[in-house]
Amino acid sequence: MRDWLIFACGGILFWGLFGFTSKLATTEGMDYLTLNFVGSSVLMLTSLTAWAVSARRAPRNQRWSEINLALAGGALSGLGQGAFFGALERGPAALVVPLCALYPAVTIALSFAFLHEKLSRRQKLAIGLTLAAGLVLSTQ
Amino acid sequence: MIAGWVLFALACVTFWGLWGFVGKLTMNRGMSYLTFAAISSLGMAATALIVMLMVGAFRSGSAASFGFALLTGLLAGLGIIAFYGALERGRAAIVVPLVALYPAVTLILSVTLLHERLSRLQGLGIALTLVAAVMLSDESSAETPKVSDLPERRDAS
Repeated sequence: MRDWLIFACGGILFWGLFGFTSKLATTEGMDYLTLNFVGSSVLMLTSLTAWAVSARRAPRNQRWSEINLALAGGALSGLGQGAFFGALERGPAALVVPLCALYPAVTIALSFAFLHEKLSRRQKLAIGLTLAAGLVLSTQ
Repeated sequence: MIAGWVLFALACVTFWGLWGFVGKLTMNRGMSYLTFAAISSLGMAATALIVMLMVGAFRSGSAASFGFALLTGLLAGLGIIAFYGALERGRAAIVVPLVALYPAVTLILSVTLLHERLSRLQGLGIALTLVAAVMLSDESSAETPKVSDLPERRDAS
């Protein structure tokens, strides 16, 4: 088995389990904002450890403008994760996780609008499917 | 009438979509994936703390819920490491659509272990999301180098 496939399967498994354990934490009584803080703190420790271990990727003279952008990105990610856990607290994981996995449609739309990136035919079709899926799942 | 969870899910899609866009802007300027993940995790934890303190919601629930919360953070971090590890070793055109299938794992576990029930229409909606998630990660129109082939960073000016 190729090693990239092992890592990719790890990604599928870990993120798939992440959605499931999030739901378990809320069903066991933790509120979604506390879950967001605890989960984000552990995620931060894991990410910083991975970054420190991977010494060849350590930043040298990283510019403040880039660091500030990354921090702003993190703030948005924190708000998104809080909303994700809020949705899990109120709705079934089987619907919330697939629906929230459609967030790349927003990134692609913004990249198209502001960075003037080109969309492939598949991506255009996928955005249409995303809207259709969102409509079907949200009107239940 | 739109259910409350749908509004939260739409907020999540919006914020994570914006996060992806800001991440793109940052990495376009030369920051590596892992550096972005590490620095943004600081902003993420700080935001989570501020929002929690502002709203004043502290309901830790059972000891099991705390254990699941810790496990949730660890799994999210391991997912990031595995994803970037795969990108470093394989082609993004294959890795990204493959990893986009992760909601299927949650779906299977939720239906089998939590006994969540889905209507036929909801099943159709989920099938559409899985297809859309894989198609959204289409990299065929662009060059898809390995992460290790990408420039590590741009020199500070």
